This record gives sequence, structure tokens and C-alpha cells, in this order.
Amino acid sequence: MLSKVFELMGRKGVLTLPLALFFLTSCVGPAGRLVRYPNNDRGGLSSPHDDREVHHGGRYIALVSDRRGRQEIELFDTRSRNLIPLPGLNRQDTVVSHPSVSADGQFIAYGGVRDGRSDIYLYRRARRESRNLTQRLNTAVRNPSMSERGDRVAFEVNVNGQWEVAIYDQNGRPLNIPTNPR
Amino acid sequence: MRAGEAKKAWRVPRNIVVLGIAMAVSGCVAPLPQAGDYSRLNSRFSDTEPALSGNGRFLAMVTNRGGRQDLALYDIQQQRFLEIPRLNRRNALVESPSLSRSARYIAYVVNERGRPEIALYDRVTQRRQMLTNGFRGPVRNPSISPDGRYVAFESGRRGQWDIEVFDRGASVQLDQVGGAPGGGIEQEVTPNAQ
Repeated sequence: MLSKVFELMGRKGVLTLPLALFFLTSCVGPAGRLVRYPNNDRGGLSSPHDDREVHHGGRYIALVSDRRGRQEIELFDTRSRNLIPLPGLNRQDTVVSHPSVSADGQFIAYGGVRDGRSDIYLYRRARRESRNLTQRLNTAVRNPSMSERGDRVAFEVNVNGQWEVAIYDQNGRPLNIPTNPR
Repeated sequence: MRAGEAKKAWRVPRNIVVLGIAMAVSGCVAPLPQAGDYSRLNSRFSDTEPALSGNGRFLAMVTNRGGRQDLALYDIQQQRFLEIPRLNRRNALVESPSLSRSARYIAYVVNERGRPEIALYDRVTQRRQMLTNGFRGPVRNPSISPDGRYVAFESGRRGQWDIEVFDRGASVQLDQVGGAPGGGIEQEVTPNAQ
């Protein structure tokens, strides 16, 4: 049976090209395209300055940007195609990074370094303030990731000189999972 | 007669060689056995880059517990790891995972041939698609929207990092299971003029 297949391939190369194409195309990406969002210093998703650490939350997209002259978290509304103000989030005394935004845009989890301490903060737009989720953890933390509802935050924590994954709720309490750092 | 026979004998191996090259290049190779202790969330080795699914139930991470750098998917509700067949590959470096709402889709960075690319893994089909083949400039840090249709990422083709958003198209199967209120939005999409 196999030898007949080989014979067919050998005689006319009939199956070779389609089979080769099959293997090559079965892993090729989809035909998609880039969405064109405004790209400018004022209210664009991207800007002529560094824009990075993007989190796509559905309607809202959070990112870190240098467009205002310092490293700040910005929130882009894909519906109005403009930036949403975040009073009380970006502070002069804190280096902010790695934002994660909820589906309704009301909550942003992010990493902040202040007074030599790293912490994971949960910013609430309605209250214009951030809650420190890792106040009781006296160790390095970074890279938060939040659920859509803003009720759960996972992040990295330094345990005995090694990064581990922690999963906390929005009140800063670790979930009851074995090996979850607390 | 002999020359003719010799020609015929060579034609078969050459076609097989072509096929073999196609198969090797396609990267659709044998699954990697998952070594390491997956009995608990954290291991003795480094576990990093956590990414929660939109519904908060699943967590993707990069783990070194198998003696190599792998992506892993953890079910928080059942407190166990799930299989992600054919995502981690023998010669590939994977990192930077991002999950859709119910973790149906995993966007991540894979480096097989020296250039980090953004890939999308579908847990239903257990197949991956490369999203940034042919992109000019470096790419990194993908973030998939909860419905799984859009993948935002950083693009360095202008000599600095910019945010780009890839639209997989209106015909993709959206990840709507257990959607949170306020999820599922109409996006205005204009064709890219490039």
C-alpha cells in the first residue's frame, strides 16, 4: 500500500505538492488585520513615545506610556477611541507598571514601586485611589494579572529567592490553594 | 536501460525529501511529554508570568518545573493542571501567556527559529496559529481580549515600542462562556491601510 503511494509520488509527483502544501499551510496564521486606532500624543492608543505592557480588557485597553514625560499607566476606551483620565493612580513617588484592567474599566491592578518597596495595587476609578493588596507581604512582587470582574489578582512573588505565582482576591487575601504564597 | 532504471530509483526519494522538509518546516511535530511535578500550583523551580482567564477560573504561567521552560494551565476551581497538547514543543522557547475569558484561547510568544513570534493556541482544536509571521520588526507581550477576537501586543518596527491590535476577524468563534457583565462589545474596525 505504502509502496504504491511512493510509486504514485515518484511517477508524477502527483501527491507531493498538495501534501507538502498541506503540511506547510496547516500551521499558517489566520488572515487577520491590524485595527487602526489613533496614534498620537494626546489621546491615542499608541504615541510617538514608548508604549508598552498592554492589557486588552475588552472595551478598555490599559498600557504603560512615556508620552507625558514620565512612566504612567493610561487607559484607552475603544468605544470613544480616547484616553480615560485616571485621577489618583499615577503618583510622583511611585514607579508604576504592568496594568490589568477589568471589563467595565472600573478597576486596574498594577505594580508599583514606592519608598524602595514593590507592591501590587488595585486602583478603583470611582474612589480615585489605590488599595495595596500586598501590604503584609514584605518581599518583592510584580506582574499582576486580574480577572474581568476585578475580583481576583494573580502576580509573582519572591519566595526564598525564587519567583512563584500567587493568587489573591480583591481584598488582598490569598486564595486557599496549597503552595499559594501568603 | 540501466540509466532509465537509475533515474526512476532517484525520483521517489527526492519527493520524500521534499515532503520531509515540508513536515519539518511546518513544525507540526510530535507532542512533548510533560515532565515535572504538576501536583501543586507552585514548584521547586521558578514559576512566573501568571495570566488569569477573564472569568478568573484559569491561570496560565511559565514554569521551569519540567527541566525546561514550558507554559502551564492551572484550573483554580479544581486545583489541578490541565493538558495543553502540542503547545510546548521540543525546540521552542515559550513565554508571555495571555488567556481569553474561559481560557479557550491562549496567546503567547514562541521562539523556534531565533525570532520571537506571537502565536494563538485554541484549546478546542488543540492547534496553534502564528499571528506575526511576516511582520516587520520585533513583537512581544501579547494580550488577548476576553472574547478572544483581538490580540494586542507591542510592536517595535518604528524603533520604539508601540501598541498594535490584531483583529482575528468577525468569523472567529468567540469565547463567551461565563462572560462577565459588560463583556462582548461591538468594536469599530477599520481596514489597515498598509
